[in-house]
Amino acid sequence: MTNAKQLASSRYRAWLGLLALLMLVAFTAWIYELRYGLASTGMRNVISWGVYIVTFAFFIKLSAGGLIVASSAEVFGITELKPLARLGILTAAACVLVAAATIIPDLGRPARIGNLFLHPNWHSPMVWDVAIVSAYFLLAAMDLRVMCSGSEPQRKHKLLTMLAIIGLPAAFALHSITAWIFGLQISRTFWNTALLAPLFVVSAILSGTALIAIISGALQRFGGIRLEGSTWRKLSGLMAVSAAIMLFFLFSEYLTVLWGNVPREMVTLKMILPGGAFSLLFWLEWVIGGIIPFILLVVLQTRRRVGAVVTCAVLILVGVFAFQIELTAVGMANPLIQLAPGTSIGTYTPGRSVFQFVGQYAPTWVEYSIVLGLIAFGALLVTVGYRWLGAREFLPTRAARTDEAMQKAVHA
Amino acid sequence: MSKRWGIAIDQNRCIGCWTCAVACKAINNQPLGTYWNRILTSRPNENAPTTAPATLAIDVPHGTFPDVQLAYQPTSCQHCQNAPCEKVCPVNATFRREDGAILVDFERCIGCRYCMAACPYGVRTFTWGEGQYAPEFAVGYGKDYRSAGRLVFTPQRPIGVAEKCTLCVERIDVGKQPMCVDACPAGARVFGDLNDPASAISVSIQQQGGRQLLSELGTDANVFYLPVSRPNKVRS
Amino acid sequence: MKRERRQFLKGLVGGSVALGLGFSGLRFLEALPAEGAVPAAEKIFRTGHNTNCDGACGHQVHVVDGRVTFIEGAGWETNIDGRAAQTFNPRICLRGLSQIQNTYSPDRIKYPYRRVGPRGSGQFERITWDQATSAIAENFQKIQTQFGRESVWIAPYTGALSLLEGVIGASFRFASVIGASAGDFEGDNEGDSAGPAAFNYMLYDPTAPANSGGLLDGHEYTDLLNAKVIFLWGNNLAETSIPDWRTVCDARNNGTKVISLDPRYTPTAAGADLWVPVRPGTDTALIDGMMNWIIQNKRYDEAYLLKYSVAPFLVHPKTKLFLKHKDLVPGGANKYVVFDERDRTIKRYDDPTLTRASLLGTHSFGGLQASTAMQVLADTMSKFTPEYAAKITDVAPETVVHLAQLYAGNHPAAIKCGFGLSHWHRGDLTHQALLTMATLTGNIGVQGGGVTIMSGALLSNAFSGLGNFWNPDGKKWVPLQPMAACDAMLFGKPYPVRAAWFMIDNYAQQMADRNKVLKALKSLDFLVVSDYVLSATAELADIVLPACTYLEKTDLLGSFNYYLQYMPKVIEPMWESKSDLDAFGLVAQKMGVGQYFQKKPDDYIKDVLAIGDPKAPESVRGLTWEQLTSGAYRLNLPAPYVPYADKKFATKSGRIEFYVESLLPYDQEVCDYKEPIEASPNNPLYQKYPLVFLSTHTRFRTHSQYANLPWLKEINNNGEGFLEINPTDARARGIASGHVVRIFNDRGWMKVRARLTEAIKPGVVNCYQGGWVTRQVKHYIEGHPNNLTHQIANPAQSIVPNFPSNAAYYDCLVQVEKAEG
Ligand SMILES: Nc1nc2c(c(=O)[nH]1)N[C@H]1C(S)=C(S)[C@@H](COP(=O)(O)OP(=O)(O)OC[C@H]3O[C@@H](n4cnc5c(=O)[nH]c(N)nc54)[C@H](O)[C@@H]3O)O[C@H]1N2
Ligand SMILES: Nc1nc2c(c(=O)[nH]1)N[C@H]1C(S)=C(S)[C@@H](COP(=O)(O)OP(=O)(O)OC[C@H]3O[C@@H](n4cnc5c(=O)[nH]c(N)nc54)[C@H](O)[C@@H]3O)O[C@H]1N2
Ligand code: SF4
Ligand code: SF4
Ligand code: SF4
Ligand code: SF4
Ligand code: SF4
Ligand SMILES: [Mo]
Repeated sequence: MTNAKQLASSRYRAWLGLLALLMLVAFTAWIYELRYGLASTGMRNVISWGVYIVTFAFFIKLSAGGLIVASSAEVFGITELKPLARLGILTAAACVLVAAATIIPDLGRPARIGNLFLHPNWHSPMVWDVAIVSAYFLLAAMDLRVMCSGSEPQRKHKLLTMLAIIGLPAAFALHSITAWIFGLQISRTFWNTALLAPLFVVSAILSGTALIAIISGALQRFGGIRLEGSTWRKLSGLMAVSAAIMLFFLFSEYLTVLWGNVPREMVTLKMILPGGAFSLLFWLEWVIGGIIPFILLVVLQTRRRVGAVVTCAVLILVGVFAFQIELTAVGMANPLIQLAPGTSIGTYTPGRSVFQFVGQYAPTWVEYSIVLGLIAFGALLVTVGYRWLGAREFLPTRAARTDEAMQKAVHA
Repeated sequence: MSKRWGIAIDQNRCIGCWTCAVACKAINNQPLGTYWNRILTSRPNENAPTTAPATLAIDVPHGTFPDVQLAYQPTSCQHCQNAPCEKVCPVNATFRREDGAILVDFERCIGCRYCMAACPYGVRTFTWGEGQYAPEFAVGYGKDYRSAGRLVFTPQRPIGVAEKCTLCVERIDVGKQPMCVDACPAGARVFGDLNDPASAISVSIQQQGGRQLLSELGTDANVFYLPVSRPNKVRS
Repeated sequence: MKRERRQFLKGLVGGSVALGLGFSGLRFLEALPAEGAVPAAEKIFRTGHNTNCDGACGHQVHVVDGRVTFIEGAGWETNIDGRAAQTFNPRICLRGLSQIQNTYSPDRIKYPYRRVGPRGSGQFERITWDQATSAIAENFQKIQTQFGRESVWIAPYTGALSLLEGVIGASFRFASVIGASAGDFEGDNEGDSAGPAAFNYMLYDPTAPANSGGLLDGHEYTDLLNAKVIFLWGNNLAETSIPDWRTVCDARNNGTKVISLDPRYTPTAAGADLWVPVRPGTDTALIDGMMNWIIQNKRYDEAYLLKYSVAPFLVHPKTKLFLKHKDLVPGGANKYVVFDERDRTIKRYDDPTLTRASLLGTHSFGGLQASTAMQVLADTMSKFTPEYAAKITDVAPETVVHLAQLYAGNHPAAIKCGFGLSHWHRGDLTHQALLTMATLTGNIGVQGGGVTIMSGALLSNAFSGLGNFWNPDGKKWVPLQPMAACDAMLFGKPYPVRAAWFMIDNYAQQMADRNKVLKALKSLDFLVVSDYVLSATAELADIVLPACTYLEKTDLLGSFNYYLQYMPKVIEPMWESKSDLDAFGLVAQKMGVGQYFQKKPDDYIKDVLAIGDPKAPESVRGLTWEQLTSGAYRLNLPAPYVPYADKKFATKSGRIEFYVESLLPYDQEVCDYKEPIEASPNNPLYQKYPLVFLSTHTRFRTHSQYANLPWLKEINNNGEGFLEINPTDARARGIASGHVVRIFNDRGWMKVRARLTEAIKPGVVNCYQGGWVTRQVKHYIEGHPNNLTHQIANPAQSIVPNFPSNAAYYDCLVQVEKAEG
């Protein structure tokens, strides 16, 4: 037992060490970026948003799951999800924080970030987003506070229900507004669709749930936590349904473009469809992160295996991330006006053309480091928060009630 | 009535010489790799084709020899009346003057590049890092310029800030023409007040028929293109 | 001070960044100049751009703290005598705007150098001006003693066109005073002399030294406004004379039609009302076809022909010379004869009893049949039916007719011919045909008409002191043409050339048949090159001298238009560069002829323009120094200037001689079409090399100049040369856009990437000339267009003493294949 505990804590410390290291690397990369400007990233004038914005939107989506899980537990009394409420809120708060942090390295003038609050332009979806992100974070923080406070259960339940009632529409708003950052832009055919907000909402539910599943899986594996089969069933069911809706939306989106065959829209879609330069994203999004996990999850409804569910969740995250890259980078790669020689890129490398027809983008080590660091930051928040807030207390540890299958899955 | 500055570009005259692009580059001290104004090889009177590149290099015409066609479309900020870039700027760094000039406040811009994502014409540029300049010292206008107290031009391209054609406000505010208009060796550019029906620009648009790029997007640009009217029939 | 502060801040910020404290935001805020900081005073100079591009634009140069910070177009003044003659637009182009980059280019040669490695190895050591000029003086003297004075060749090409420094400049004075041979500017044979030669054949005395005819004395550009139709013939005006495009457009606003005849769909062709993609090298046949139609349909100007041309003069059927009165009547006058239509007799053209000379017809005398020159022309042209012309030129028969209608039906009609015609072996013949057609329609010496190669290239009638400047104390250089010079170096013919001094000249890449040129240059005992960049030629030199750019020295620009543009020294010479005039002075000193280079630049200018001299030519009379240096004043000429407006021709007959007796030995007395020497489908070589290879001029550089400037490179495919090829030709060779291709013929080869374009006639390819081929900079993957061109001179042209040859850059056949890489 002591051995196990020691092992656990040394593992724990190694984990924290790893996260700290990643964050240190990211910090160094950020200093480098500050010194040399965003020229040290792979972004240029044509594709002027890159992996930072992708990560931002991705973390926004991840934050959904926790809140939805927690809120639905309270509001709709889905008891199976109740054990995950605290963890859910914690993840939501952490993800929103990471998302907000992701914006900083993306700014050309990070020192002026305060202008967002000093001189907000209420026409700008980005300002709406700042507002909703802040509100959402506050909400999550309050939620956490209430959950972890020692107040009497009756009052607590009332408060939590109230917060949850605000929380659900807030989550919808968060994802819709984040979608509208892109979706309202007439300049990008690929973005400019009314379906984008619903698409963001489902992909948020999908990826958010997936994240909860992954964390729960990890806790079950390393944290000595046991979740009931019904909880897993709910999680995988939620994922399956939202995956299906997401694919349906996407399909509907593609069909609209394909059927219309409007050149300016087809250009972009062709880049993604099999045979296009970005078709890898198609496979990741549709097959690896879409159809395969969907089928698996449906099958798993009857034969539950935690490892498999977690694997599906990971695939789903890959798929959603691919979707976000596709939306951001591919959407920007094809400017509306594509005439020779193209658009100037804003930097000069001897021997290379300074114009691009179709945008090119590959993240640099700086971006990879910073993004990894941000992910580590999120993981750190969850890891540490989980301990500090004692979120563990609220999770069932009734090993006795763990059914056989689950046992097997955990130790498999 | 207040002024509404605009530029009309006569595609009958424009020979795609890039003089206006280099003039813009020189007066505004743009680093290598940056063009606030660029000359696109296009097809006569096509409203900004938006398909994949029909020709891969400048001066390469459309069509099959000898039935070929080509026109040039100098493209810089269109100074939209309904400017997507202005709407999205989260901090009001991009702003519209009463006379129609869309400007960026270099001291306020946070460098989020949302405006670049929003501009349908791809005319916004960003100074991604310490630029490479030739010559190394600052050339061009060489002074700060403030409009209504806001810094809209500096001799050095500020890093981490979104920029674009300023309509040469530092020049037009003292009664000069934008540099690209002055420099155009073909006399293809007309600058003036669109609100004044007697101005040269209004008259030329009236007579030749002005066209706004991507007009279907409702940006209501203040840059007009005077259509190609030469028959250019091939005889071979 | 300001700069130091910035430096300091930069250091400071750099330091804090190292500490992890730097925010780019903070950096920017700190770099802002303090409120109310007084900007350094700005000075503005007016100068002219003396580069060889046709433009001769006035530049307004902004200088702050002794540094040029901006260049823009400058304005123009009235005539010297104060008359406001016309408006002339401010002019500038992308290259002019980029001149700051040129002057401050890191590629500049900064100091004098001496070669240390083998020739061409690019190994040099820095030396002083004193060492350099001593070495030049010693070597020149040694070689001149050993091989004769003319064995030193002074070689200015066309890098700059101003009075003291440029191609008309001090180099000739220097050559004269040391008795060297020199590449004669007027006989410049870089492919630009075929056109002027034809002017000499027809409008001057071909056997006398040409006064440079059409090259130097064209219609002023503003005269295009008077034309009803403008033929841009083998001329890519919108790229090679950009600022004049405005005038073409202004003319079109008045209803003038613009026609481009060019095998390529250039920006000019795209901007024209009609584009005619003629098969290159066959324009003469097209013109002949047009003329035939004009004659057949009697659309010529009979009165004009009778009065101003040799049209009615009878031609001796045996000698083919003009029939003279003395041939008819023993003891008769040496005068041309005509056929009087009224009394049907042959008489002297100035016979007072002549009532009406017949234009056409064949008339018998002494049992022989003599035709009028016009009849000879008509007979010669008669085979050029539209169909026949179409077969040769690939221009549809109805287009041939249409063109003839356009030309003859719109009076006045202007022809602006470009070097797409002159860069051919028989470019002279094509211009002969153009001038003949212009004569037929009464377009010579007429406002809005004419045949113009360049507009006022050189103000020859203003530079009355030029002779003395070139030939002080009657000393004269020995003319040696650039094309002949190769043979002089390689084979000692007509005399050995063992040393050369190149300035404003990139001979090693701009001259045709580059492999021959390189061999010739490598064979020299001593080679000096003055340049401001290490050109392909400079790279081969024994001594390299750093030259100034146009902003660093005083000069006078008096070419390509009818304005005088004083060029003040705007900034001090950079590094150790010196003006060519100064360099000549230093060497002259050491060769014992320093007395000829004592004056200041301003004084030479005063001399050449005869400022203050009451006997100064009419065109510059009354000019004062203050006036010259205060703006660009126009010569006292009627505006727009129209050459031959007085219809006085310096020919033997005093008329336009479209029948050229001196060309009889070359079977070229009238402009009967002849095939190109090489680029003809009937040439057996065509089987092996079926593509016509053009190497034209691009707006992104002036010849080899400015090819290195970043602004221009950025726009121009990053400076990388490419081959324009029609997709039909490309497909047949398995070539796609971007493929590396090898272009080759028996003389050499080059490699570039292919650019597939429908803008070029199938069977024709084009690679812009002028990219660099130095050890350090290669704008073509390998080689240069001139690796493929030849130096075959047209013997007909040799009758013009100072235009004896012409480099036919475009009369060239090649094959193209896909290459590795
Ligand atoms: N930007 C720029 N301007 C320049 C120069 C430069 O280097 N750069 N150089 C200057 C000098 S020195 C010169 S000589 C001029 C030259 O300038 P231009 O007179 O314009 O001559 P090119 O560019 O040699 O050829 C003009 C056109 O002739 C076409 N052509 C070729 N062969 C034939 C033919 O057989 N028939 C017909 N009808 N067309 C033909 C070519 O396709 C080309 O488009 O430009 C001057 N201006
Ligand atoms: N294949 C092919 N070849 C061609 C042509 C073509 O069409 N096709 N065109 C031909 C024609 S038309 C011409 S005119 C020639 C032009 O041929 P060049 O006269 O050789 O051409 P540039 O490159 O203008 O100038 C030559 C050199 O002069 C230098 N220079 C400029 N100003 C000065 C100065 O003030 N002092 C000194 N010392 N040096 C100076 C420049 O740096 C450059 O290296 O090329 C010819 N070559
Ligand atoms: S063209 Fe682009 S940058 Fe200019 S005003 Fe319109 S949206 Fe803004
Ligand atoms: S980059 Fe600057 S100007 Fe553009 S939207 Fe952001 S803050 Fe506004
Ligand atoms: S108006 Fe000024 S800033 Fe705008 S394109 Fe013209 S020169 Fe450039
Ligand atoms: S300077 Fe004038 S002619 Fe040249 S590209 Fe610009 S608008 Fe066209
Ligand atoms: S390069 Fe020629 S056209 Fe351009 S500015 Fe100079 S002289 Fe004028
Ligand atoms: Mo030339």
